[in-house]
Amino acid sequence: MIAFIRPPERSSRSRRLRRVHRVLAETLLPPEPEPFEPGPPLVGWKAWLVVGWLSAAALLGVVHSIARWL
Amino acid sequence: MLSLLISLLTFVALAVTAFGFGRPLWRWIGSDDDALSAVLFSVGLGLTAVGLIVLGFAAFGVLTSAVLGVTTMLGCCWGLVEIAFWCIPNGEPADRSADESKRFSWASRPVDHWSPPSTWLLAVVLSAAIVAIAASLIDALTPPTAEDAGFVSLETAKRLLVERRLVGPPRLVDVWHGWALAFDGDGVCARLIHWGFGLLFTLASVVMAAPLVGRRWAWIVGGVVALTPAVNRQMGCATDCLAMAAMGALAMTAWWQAVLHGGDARWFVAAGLMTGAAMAVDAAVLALVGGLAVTWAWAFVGWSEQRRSLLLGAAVFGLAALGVALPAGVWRWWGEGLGTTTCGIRWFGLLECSAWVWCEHLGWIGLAALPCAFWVRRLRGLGVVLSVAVIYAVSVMTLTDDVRRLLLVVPLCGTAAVWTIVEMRRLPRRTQWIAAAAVGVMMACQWTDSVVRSFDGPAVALGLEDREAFLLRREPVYQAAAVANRVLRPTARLLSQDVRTFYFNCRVTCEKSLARPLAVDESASETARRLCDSGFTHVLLVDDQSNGARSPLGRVAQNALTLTDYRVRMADGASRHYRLVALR
Repeated sequence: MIAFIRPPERSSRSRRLRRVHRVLAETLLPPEPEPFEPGPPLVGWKAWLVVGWLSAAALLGVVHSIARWL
Repeated sequence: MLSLLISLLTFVALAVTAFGFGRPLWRWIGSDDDALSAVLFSVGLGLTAVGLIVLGFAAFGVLTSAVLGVTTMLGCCWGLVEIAFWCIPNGEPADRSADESKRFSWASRPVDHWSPPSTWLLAVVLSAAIVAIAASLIDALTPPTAEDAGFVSLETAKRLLVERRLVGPPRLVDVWHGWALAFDGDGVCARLIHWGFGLLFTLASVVMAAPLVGRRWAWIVGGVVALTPAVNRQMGCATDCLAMAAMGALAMTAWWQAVLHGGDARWFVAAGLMTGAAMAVDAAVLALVGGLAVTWAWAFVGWSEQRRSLLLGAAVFGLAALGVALPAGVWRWWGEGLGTTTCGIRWFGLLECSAWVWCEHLGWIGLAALPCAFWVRRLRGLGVVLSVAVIYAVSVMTLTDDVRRLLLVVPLCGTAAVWTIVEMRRLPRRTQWIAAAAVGVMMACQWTDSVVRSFDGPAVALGLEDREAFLLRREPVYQAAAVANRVLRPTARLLSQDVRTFYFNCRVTCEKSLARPLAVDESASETARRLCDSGFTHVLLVDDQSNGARSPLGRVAQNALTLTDYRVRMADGASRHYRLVALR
């Protein structure tokens, strides 16, 4: 059975009242959390130091695991 | 297969019992929170309550199977009722917004402010962790042998059950093992209890990290903890370190909530009870109390408006902790110091550990992430967490030489590691990929160390091999124990040269613990007569031929009736000669 098409209901609030509601809500409700800011990019020698350290640790881990199971 | 099912069912029943005892306590404490933390704290409190109840039975000399059985059955039934109330909807429509507000009540600021981990990362880490936990479960399902570090605890637990009274002040972990042994005498359920502590520790790490890095990243912390090789290995044997770590992690979780996140004062009660339980397991937790006291002092100085509640909270915390720890362990520490592994004060104890020990116990990722804490942005609370980790690690390694006590630091380092991973997005794209690959390799190494192990017992763990056949193959003393259990009367008293006496049903005294050592120049007949006068009826002689060790006790074999005589080749190639003899 095909439903009868109903015309859209009109809001009981007037446009001005809706605007007041929106302004009040923006004032009283806590703001939406801001999107994540990844912070200043880490570049140059600092980035390579971090990557070098992590890579060295990973390499040591591999060597340790191989030595352990050989 | 039947014994395997019995062990598993017993473990589940004991877990439900712990939940049954703990859930009303947690409700009484009244800290409203999400389901995971409610379950964890309920189980932790329930285990503490059961431990103290069993300890009370032992103190009054009524530790019988019937008493234990009735108590456990009551707790189990109530646990089932609690689970039913938990699961069955009460007919009212679920208020999702209320659930959300409960979840976020963990943090005093919106969590997941940074983008959460991708679903594939979460899936990979958690799948790897589940495989590692399953590998440790196979270990835990094998009957305990002398190679296990936790054999001593099982011996103490068995003595508690045989004597039906306190034989020296036991630790809370011995009581839990004894509780499991009462229903599953093979010791497998006791190992499963310890495996359960590992699970509790892992999930407690998730709850502890959630206010800092958000719930989804906290699951990555849980994965990192589960993949730490030492944690995973300890889950397979019945020792005390994971029980201490699990209770300590719950205590820290409640403490952060009370002190750092301005939680309700009732969190202090939870923190105190959990700290008391951890102290009753291992006195090394006093080092953790020192670290927590520093955070308390920091909050006390910094937040002048909350000083009154902090003072009140500290008093409540101290009373709750002592209320649990006093019945279980204070007199023990008074007499023995900080446990059997105390080795005096070693000012540089932490530095004496080799790098491999560090990697084994803290994990590659946690260790590699520590220096990176200097370049990541400040995360509120992380500095406090790392301060507690440093204070605890330095204190505990100064006072003891047992590196397993460092396990409590693993979730703290894991949280720092995960924050480092979050911050890796600040790196340029190319270096970001290299760093991610390095972290992935470290995680793979940890996974390999945890999972790929010399499995000797999958057949017995899966019920394909008989437990007795496994023990005859693996446990040197088991053959003598099997003979003694068949031949000896229950009233017999055995003097053993081997300290591993778990599988003997009769009362056993080790030669090392004799009040008066045997004289070297005594004749065989004089020694035998002295032993008979002391009440001993049988002797288990062990002749270690690798070092040619001879004891005055060995001479009694000349005039004694030999019940069994066999040689065993040990894993290190040495040969051992076992003789079970009856004194005449």
